[in-house]
Amino acid sequence: MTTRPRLNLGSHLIPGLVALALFVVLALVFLTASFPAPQGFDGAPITPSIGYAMFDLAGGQIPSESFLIAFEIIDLVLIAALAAAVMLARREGDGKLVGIEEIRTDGGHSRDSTTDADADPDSGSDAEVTNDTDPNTATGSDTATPTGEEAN
Amino acid sequence: MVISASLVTWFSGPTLQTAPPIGDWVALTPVLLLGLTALILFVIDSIDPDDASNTPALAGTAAVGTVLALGAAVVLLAAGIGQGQGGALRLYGGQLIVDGMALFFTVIFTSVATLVIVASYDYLADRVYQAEYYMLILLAATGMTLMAAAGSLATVFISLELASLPSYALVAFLKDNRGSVEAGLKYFLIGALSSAIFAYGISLVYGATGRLGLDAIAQQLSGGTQLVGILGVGVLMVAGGFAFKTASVPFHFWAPAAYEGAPAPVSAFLSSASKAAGFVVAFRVFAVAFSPDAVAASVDWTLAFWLLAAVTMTIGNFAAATQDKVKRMLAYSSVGHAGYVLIGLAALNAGQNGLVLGASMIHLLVYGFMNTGAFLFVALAEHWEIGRTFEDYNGLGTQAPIACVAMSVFMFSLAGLPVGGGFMSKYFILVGAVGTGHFVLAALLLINSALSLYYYSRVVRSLWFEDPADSLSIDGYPVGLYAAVIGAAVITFLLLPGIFLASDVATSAASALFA
Amino acid sequence: MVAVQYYLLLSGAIFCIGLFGILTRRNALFFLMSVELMLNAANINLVAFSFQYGNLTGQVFSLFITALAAAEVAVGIGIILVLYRNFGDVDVTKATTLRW
Repeated sequence: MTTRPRLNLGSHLIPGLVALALFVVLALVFLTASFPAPQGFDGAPITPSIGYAMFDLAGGQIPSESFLIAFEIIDLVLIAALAAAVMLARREGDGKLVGIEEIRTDGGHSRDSTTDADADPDSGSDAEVTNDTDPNTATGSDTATPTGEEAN
Repeated sequence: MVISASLVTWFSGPTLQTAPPIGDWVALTPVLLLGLTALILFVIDSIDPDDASNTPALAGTAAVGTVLALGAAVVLLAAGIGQGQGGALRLYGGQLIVDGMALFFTVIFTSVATLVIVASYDYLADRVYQAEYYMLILLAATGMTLMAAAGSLATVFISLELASLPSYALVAFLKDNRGSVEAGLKYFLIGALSSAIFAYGISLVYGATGRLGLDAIAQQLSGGTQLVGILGVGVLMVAGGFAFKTASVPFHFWAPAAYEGAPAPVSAFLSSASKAAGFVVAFRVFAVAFSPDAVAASVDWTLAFWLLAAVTMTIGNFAAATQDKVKRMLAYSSVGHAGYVLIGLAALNAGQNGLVLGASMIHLLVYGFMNTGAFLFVALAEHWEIGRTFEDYNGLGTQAPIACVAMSVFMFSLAGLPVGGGFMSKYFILVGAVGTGHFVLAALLLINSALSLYYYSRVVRSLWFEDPADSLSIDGYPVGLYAAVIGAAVITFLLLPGIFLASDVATSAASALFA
Repeated sequence: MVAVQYYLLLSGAIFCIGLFGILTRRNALFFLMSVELMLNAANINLVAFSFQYGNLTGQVFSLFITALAAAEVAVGIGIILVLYRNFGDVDVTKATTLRW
């Protein structure tokens, strides 16, 4: 799925059909299922009951399975995510980034954007914005993605 | 007055409903030990984050933590906690279930984690972020032990994420190495996609039953259900989530890239422990919640696993046979072994449930040691920087005979020759497949094992029978890596005669699921 | 009263839009957003079925999925950051050192 060399409208066709086919299947399954009338909550207070259910306390007016252990596990998950994200994102030693000499905040597409802006401020910057945020729909101008950008 | 009144109700009214009694906490000792050790590492690291001299302290703490957890799990298993007459221990209102299967897999996870941590001490020498590395390994191991004990789809999903998130970061641990980063990216992309599919599957199962607890789902389904379509799509999507975690078709293609690019100890950890974690939770969910008796009439998922097993083992082994890098070959062979284990799920509902599932569990136990050992040998080769292809290993037997003997044991045991436990565990799977009438799967197992002998023996031939390149030289014999490789080899070998100790435990633990 | 089928159709549509985004976008950040869409489709289902069955299990679990999604994004952004530092781009097809 990620190995296709180029993107254009033609190559969106197959993924589009896949997604559409899945939706048709799901819709058929959903619409042919017959549900009884919903039981609802009968006006019982929902938010406090969520609190009781999450901490596994007696007192909630709406039945629920207990989520105390899930709450404890998710504490560990967040610690793990924190440690992982900090380890990955931290700059090395002397404040330089690994493998790249300067920081660019534009997704790496517009090293030459200044020259564009000089030549034609409006359309140039617009085209850059389209390219940066959404390279896929920039119809026909995918070649604008610079190939010599790779650091190292 | 209002405040004091509400304070009174706060103190007297709400009470914890399902927190386990103190005695039951003992059953969670391995989980608590792993989690606490991770937090202790956090503390050690924050006292003096930039000091390289506390590396032995970090590795030592991590190793002690996993060894203690391993010991606790073995003691609990031997003491019969959650097994036999009393039945499984249900904590937190059935959200956690400690039984023979959970403890059996905890032994696998903690053993693999111990080997990996001991080996990492040398592999990581002079690298930064060691505290984070060990901490993430321990947190992932905690997640895996929780997966083994998960008693509801909510707990399954959350503990699966606890096992996955640290793994993504561990694969990308070599931040300045393009292969490692790319492997981490691919692992993360496929992992995030499959966890989204898994979550959607859970929501559909909830839609069909109105429950998330495994026992409660089984209860709802036992009376038959009107919502066969929704349940079917949900079960398929849940199976997809497990296929990612176990590196089975159709979510297997991250495995070669991730295992090849990751640091070799991390590859060992993921391909052994993480795969076993995916399987234990698949066993429990499919055997308990979607128990074959209850849903056979509506959603016959054994057929889906039959197909997955056949395709997975064939693709894995044929792809492995065409590789020229040892690590990548091991990665594909790991996919193939997932296919063998899937036979345990495919052969359910044929009257021999305890036997076939037990056989899969034993294979995962043996695989935990032999595959971890093989990847750690690759780590040793990476430590010596002798290259990655089969040819680069030429004549290594003359330089490092002991490690090469160990590697030969791993290779032959993985192929299923009687020099290690792999022979017996594969034999059990074969007996289970034949005994339940799955002759096609049995034949595929034999064909694929024969094929795997070809590519595993290529490694052995390189090690012993090819002339070494002139430039081949190794510097030193790192103690930690050697200890881990030799330890894994000894246990792999001992599991050949000792398999019957494990097989009784595994079979009775598997049978207990269906009681 | 809206029948539960309409919520299911909505969530199915969102799920498929997310899948389409994953299949077509090369930008890793778009990939993350698409995964968020798919997770939120699951949340819609959980909340709708929670009302259908008159228990809160689904609603509480959807809160947990939201938290997990945040944790996943944190790790994902970290990986994308090192990807950018190594390859100078956030294009997932640029990283081709290894084969699939």
